[in-house]
Amino acid sequence: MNILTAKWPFYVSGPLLALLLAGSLCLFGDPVGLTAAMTAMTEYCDSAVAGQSLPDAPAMDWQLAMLFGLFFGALIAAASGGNFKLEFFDEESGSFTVKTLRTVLGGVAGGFLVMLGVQLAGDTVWGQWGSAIQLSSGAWIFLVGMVLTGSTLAILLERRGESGGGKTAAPAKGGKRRKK
Amino acid sequence: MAPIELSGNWKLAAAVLVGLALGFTLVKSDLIWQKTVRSALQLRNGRIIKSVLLALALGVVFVFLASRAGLLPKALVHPAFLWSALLGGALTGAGLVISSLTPTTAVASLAAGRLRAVWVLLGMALAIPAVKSVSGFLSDTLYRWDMALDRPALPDAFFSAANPGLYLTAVLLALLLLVHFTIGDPEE
Repeated sequence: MNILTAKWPFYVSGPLLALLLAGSLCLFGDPVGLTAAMTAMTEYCDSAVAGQSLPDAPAMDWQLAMLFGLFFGALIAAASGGNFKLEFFDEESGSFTVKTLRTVLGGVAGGFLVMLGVQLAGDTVWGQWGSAIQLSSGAWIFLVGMVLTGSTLAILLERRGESGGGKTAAPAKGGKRRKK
Repeated sequence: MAPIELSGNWKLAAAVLVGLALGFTLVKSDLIWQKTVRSALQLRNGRIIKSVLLALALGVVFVFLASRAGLLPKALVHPAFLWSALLGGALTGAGLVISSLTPTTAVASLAAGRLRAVWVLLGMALAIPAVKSVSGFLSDTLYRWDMALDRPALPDAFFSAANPGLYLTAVLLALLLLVHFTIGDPEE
């Protein structure tokens, strides 16, 4: 397996994610969520729009630095693996107007709900993972609530044929259950 | 072993490196693609589910080892409340069905050229002032009624009946096996 081009199996990505979570806790001495960085970026954009000029950049802290690293890490991985592709719409058939509306409304509504949820719970999903491995009951309640709601809604929507993945309820290619 | 206490530019440099590794890993494990996350939520993509389960199970073990080595003297978590966590999880799950992205994966998805992530990030940006504007109401209602949850204590021994991490790891590994033998991997 070429680690730069191939997709990683679960027994490679799982341990790496665990190592990054535990390592971040040890290195930074803080909860690992990126809420503060997202809030700082939002406030910066907000003041830029309100003042119609670029205000002073927010102070660089480790969360913002990690966000920049995350961006470039994903860019390198996508480019090296041949996955970099400019996509404007959800992968759906339909007219330009329908695709635009679905992409914009779905994106804004989904993003709003996700951030509303993590703000109420106090940390981003990544931060909740970091708390969960430290045996925080709140993080486990959050994760279980998220997975149960997400899976139930996704399966119900799929059965109704209204899932964003397509208009039919047919299984994805290769996504059949194993027979043995 | 003493705790690693990075500060100043060392801390920023370490954060950039950890971010690079995280971004790389998220892309390679398919956690940032809309279709694969959606298929995982529909219980069709075993690889992503297994990655998450294994990360959580091993994370519990790694945190214990770090704690025993003195690298992590205490749990580093935000205060948690029962109903806020439950409601927050449900809302995040609902949002995940629509957008298939979390704040971290949205940034990585944008970096990989998926420009639709801009709209998801815009929705997230709109939620921050929205929550701030109703923070007084939330303080008077949800947070007042809410039940504070105990801060976790890191266990002294892993293979101890009093260590909840042991049971969690066992359950997560059992779920991993269940997923492995029941849910297929679209790549196979």
